[in-house]
Amino acid sequence: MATTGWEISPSENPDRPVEDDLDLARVLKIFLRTWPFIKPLTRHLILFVVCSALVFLFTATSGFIIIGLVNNGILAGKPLGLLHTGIYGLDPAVFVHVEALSADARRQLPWLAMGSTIPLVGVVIITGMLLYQYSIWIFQSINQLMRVRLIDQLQMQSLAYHSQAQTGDAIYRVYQDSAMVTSIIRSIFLDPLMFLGRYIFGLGVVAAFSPWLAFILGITIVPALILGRYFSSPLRVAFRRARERNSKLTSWIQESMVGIRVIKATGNENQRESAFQRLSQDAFAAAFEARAMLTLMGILAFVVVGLTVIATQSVSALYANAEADTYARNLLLGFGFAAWNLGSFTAASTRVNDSVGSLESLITIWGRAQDMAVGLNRVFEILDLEPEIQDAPDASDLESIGEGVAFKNVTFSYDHLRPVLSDINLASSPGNITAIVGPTGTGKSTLMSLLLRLADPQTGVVTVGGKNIRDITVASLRRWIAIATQENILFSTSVLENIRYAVPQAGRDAVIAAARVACADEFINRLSEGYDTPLGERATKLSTGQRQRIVIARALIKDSPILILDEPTAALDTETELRVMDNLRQWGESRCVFLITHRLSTIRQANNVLYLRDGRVAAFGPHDQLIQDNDNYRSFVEAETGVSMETQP
Amino acid sequence: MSAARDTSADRVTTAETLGLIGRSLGFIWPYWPQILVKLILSFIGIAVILFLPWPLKFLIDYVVVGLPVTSSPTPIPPYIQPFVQLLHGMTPLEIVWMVAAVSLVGIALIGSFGNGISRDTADGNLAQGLDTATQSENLANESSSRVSGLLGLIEYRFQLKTTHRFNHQLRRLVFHRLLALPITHFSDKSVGDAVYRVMYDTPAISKICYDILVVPICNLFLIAVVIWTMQYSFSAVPSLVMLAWLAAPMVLISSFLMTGVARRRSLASREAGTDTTSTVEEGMSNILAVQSLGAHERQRDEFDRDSQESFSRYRSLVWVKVMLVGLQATVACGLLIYVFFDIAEAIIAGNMTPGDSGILWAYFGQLLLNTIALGAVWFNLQDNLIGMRRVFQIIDQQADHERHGQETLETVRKGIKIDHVSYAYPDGTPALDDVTLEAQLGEMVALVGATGSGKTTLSYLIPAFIQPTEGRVLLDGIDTRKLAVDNLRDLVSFVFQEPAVFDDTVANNIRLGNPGASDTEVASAAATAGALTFIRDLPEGFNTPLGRSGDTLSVGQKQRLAIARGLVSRSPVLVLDEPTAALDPETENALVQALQAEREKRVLIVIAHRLSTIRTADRICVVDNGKIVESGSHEQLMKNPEGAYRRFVELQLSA
Repeated sequence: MATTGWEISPSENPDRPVEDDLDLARVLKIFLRTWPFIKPLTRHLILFVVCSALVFLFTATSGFIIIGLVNNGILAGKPLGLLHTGIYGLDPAVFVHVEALSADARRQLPWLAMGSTIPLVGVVIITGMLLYQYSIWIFQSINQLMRVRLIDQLQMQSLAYHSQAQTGDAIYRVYQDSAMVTSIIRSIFLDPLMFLGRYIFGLGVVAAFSPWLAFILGITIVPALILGRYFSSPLRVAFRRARERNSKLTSWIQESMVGIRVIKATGNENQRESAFQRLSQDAFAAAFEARAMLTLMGILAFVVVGLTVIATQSVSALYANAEADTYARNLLLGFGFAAWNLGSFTAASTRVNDSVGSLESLITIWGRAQDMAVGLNRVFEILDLEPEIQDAPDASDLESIGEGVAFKNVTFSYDHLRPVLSDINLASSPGNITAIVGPTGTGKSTLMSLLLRLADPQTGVVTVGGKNIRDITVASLRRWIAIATQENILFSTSVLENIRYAVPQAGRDAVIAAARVACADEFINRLSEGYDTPLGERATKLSTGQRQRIVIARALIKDSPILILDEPTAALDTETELRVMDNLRQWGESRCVFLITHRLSTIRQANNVLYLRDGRVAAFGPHDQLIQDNDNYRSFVEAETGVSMETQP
Repeated sequence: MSAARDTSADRVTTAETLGLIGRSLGFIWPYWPQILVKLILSFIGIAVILFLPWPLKFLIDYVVVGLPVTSSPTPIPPYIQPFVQLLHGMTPLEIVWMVAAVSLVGIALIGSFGNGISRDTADGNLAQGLDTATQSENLANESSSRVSGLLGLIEYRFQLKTTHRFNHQLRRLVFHRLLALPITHFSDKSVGDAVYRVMYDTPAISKICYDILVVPICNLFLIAVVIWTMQYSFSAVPSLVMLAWLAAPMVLISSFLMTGVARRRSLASREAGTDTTSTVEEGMSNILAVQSLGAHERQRDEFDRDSQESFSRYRSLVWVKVMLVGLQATVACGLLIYVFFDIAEAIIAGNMTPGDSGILWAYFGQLLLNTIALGAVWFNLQDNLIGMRRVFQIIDQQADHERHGQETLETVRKGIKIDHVSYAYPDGTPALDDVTLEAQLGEMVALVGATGSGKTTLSYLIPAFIQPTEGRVLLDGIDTRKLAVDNLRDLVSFVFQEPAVFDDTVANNIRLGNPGASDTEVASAAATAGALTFIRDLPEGFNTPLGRSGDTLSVGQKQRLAIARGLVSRSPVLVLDEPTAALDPETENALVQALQAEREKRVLIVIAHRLSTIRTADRICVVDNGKIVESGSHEQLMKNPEGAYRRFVELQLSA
């Protein structure tokens, strides 16, 4: 369900009633949505299930044999079954067809018991370890697929979405919530399958001992279901609240760190801390509620299950006391369980415990699944978002720059209320530097965003090489454009890596060349490790002007036909600025260069000036000409230097 | 996190281990009443757990196998005797009812009925992801009970409450210390790291305290009872008694053997977790750069790699843990097998009843489980030590206010003086060299110079964001180092070059400069800063909430907001670092004129490139390579044909 990115996503309003019920329809939906991530691993999942089942059956059967051997033979001295004599090569006359085993006979058995138990236990332990590791690998892989897709999705959203969402939340989502998906796949599909299998298996086996026992075991499902149902909604609400509060707290910390300088400079630490305290307490309170409830549910589940065990245990004990026959005595004959004895009692109890344990696990898993369902919702919210800017079905790649860039009658607004740009017309052919000037907030950066197709105009057309950019694939369009942003954002890698960020395959020479054009080469070489200096810690040591030049180099290295520089020289002193502009002019000989700037010195370097005022074109043409002809423009420039133009040579 | 090397990833030496543990215990000591209660609750639980196998024994012996009630070759421990007395003379049916009744009570109270297999524990842990970052979530909510039922519920809730209280205090402290760090400590990489430390490293301390205090004591208690019972009831089978004594040490030894490996893997796993968090964090904040550079695929691939790495390291850690459990299980089985023969012989010879074997399995099961848990303490210790260390690293850093004195100055009446100040970065790089600068109330001083010349560093001296390596900075003759930080912040306002905006309303963002400011004062500051028009154009005016980092505002608008913030504070000293770089000339002139109007009551220090701004200053200081090379008014400096300033002006105009 795509959103436009403008609505506040449901998860941002924590007091809104939660509508995500975990009924069958929804379970199905979850399955369908997660299927793309599970699909690559289906083979492994099946293998895992089959292996687990085999190990289980093997263990159960061997367990019966050993129980018969130990409990009947050794502990109680009761006769064994034909399976025992068959497997261990014992004499049936001594071990089976007698009332009780002699002490000597019994003394032979411990060795046999150990001889079988040790390998059995060894096999179980080792396969257990291997299967566990295998399952982790499987689910990590699924989680990985989801995480990466989430990141992808988040990044592809247009800037509008990011202005509303909180970054801390985004990070939290990628981690906790995507982890929930794999847990939920496990908990809703895999684990129930296996536990249900065990439960039914247990039912069958226990029925062989006595249908009454099977009956008791069977009706345990009813209270279990009731319990699960009763708790699911309250649990969900509680979990959702816990997650959201935690996420708020994380965001708060994050924001504090990002704005730490301002916080410290304005002495606002106390405010931040008291808010932190409140958020932290809220987060813990919600976590407490959720977990206490979950624990309660677990305890009640156990009570239900415990009653079953007591009942079956008591019934079995009485059967054993009366030495009654087991129900399917022919089947159980081989194990020595034809009649109720210590062995039968133990075997039946073991199966009941296992089944009942599985049932209990199912209940608690269901409880935890409520938490996961919440996480899942939030993940799907992101996965369901469609990026605003998509390629038209028949879009093609950009071929040539042709006559350059043009805006025709372009009108645009962010929120459909106030137009940021109205009726923009401009043209720039290759080899031209166009300076875009005007008061702040008048839409200069927005103009360039439209060129980049970070958003689409409401009316009008942007063309490159004569082609409407809507008909061009976004990927190819952006490959042709490089931008040096106004905000000097650098990554915490080396200078080299930063500069070739968009072009990782660029060689060192290309990087140095770009740095030279940007007049950054000199100061970079003076850094402690030159181009390999990591910027993480030291970026704060670079002056803004230095950062700016690195950002310019980063754009230049893309070697693209269209270059946009947003306030590239704002932090540069005039001398450096002149040098940079000189280099740029040479570099930009066959390209379209757009400069957003205030500075007169920069403006004078351009071929054409586009003067924007209130989102409209107030003047367009060469600087010298506009100075003479256009009053608006002239007063703008005068304001820049505080000097009347008429006195200048 | 700072210019000093980040040592959080280094190996933990034994000495350091003890030190860290000691400090953590110091933190938790105020909570000793709670710990005591938890111990008592646990003891009760243990006692009941050890009692419960006995009814089952009686069920097996007297009902299933049919032995007479009075006989028992093994002595019954005193704490069970009363129960046995009850069973005298009962029919099998009655015994069954009795045992069922006891079991029922057992279930309700502690969720157990003695056969040791289906006993439940109270566990509120949520499902967690498959790497270290997501697992830390549960640590912060650590609570458990060995038992279920009513007692289990009580114990669980009690411990969870305590854990929460403790962790809350701790993370408050860490956050406080984080905010208290000097400004120069913060770099681009800090943010994700900070979140991690506050949220995911802090629980390590409570976990360790719990592991060190509660777990061993409870385990020792249980082991003692088991050994005692073995001695009392089963001395007929000496190997059993010996086993009871040996089981614990043997399991523990196997734990120690694997410690080194575990530690390394755990460290690697934790690191990978932080890395992935950082990558995501960066990508999200730099969304504009990422998108405009068409680099989201690359970002995604990077994340993919980091995430894979994080998973892989976790798997490796799990493998070690699994091996450890496997090893311990093997040791345990080995022990049991050894004893089995003796048990079998004793039963065959009639020295023990079949029901006794049930007791033995239950008791030994408990013994081994607890010993394994004890071994796990050591294992988890390694894991948690790193977290602990990271927490203490923050707490131990020198806070801002600790570098300052306690004096206060009511207001600045005369002016500021930077007196022969030199400054070098912590790693030795020199930035300022013997700088002297004076500014009186009513003056506006402009700092100009090439990028990287030291202007910003110089300006940082005034609010004492950095402290001089030589020389002093004086406000009305008082060294800023002597002044209390709060006071200093009231006296000096700083407007940064790259403005930060918070997730709050416009008005509150401005109010950061002066929390007590009235709406009129806020509006008036906005007006002076030239921000009033665009604020009024926003959907809710001053009450419009700004998104993360105010992404809906342009840089110029953010800058004006930051200036308003500085203005509303009414401090006598106002420092503006490139306040107008992103402003158009008209707005800037308006701003400068408005600032002029405020001059009498303030000292204005402005770093600028714009000629129109600089011209209006009373004095202009040209900064070059960390020195002030020229100083004077515009007219004065223009008279010097060779001067740096004149060159600068000419470049601007004739370009």
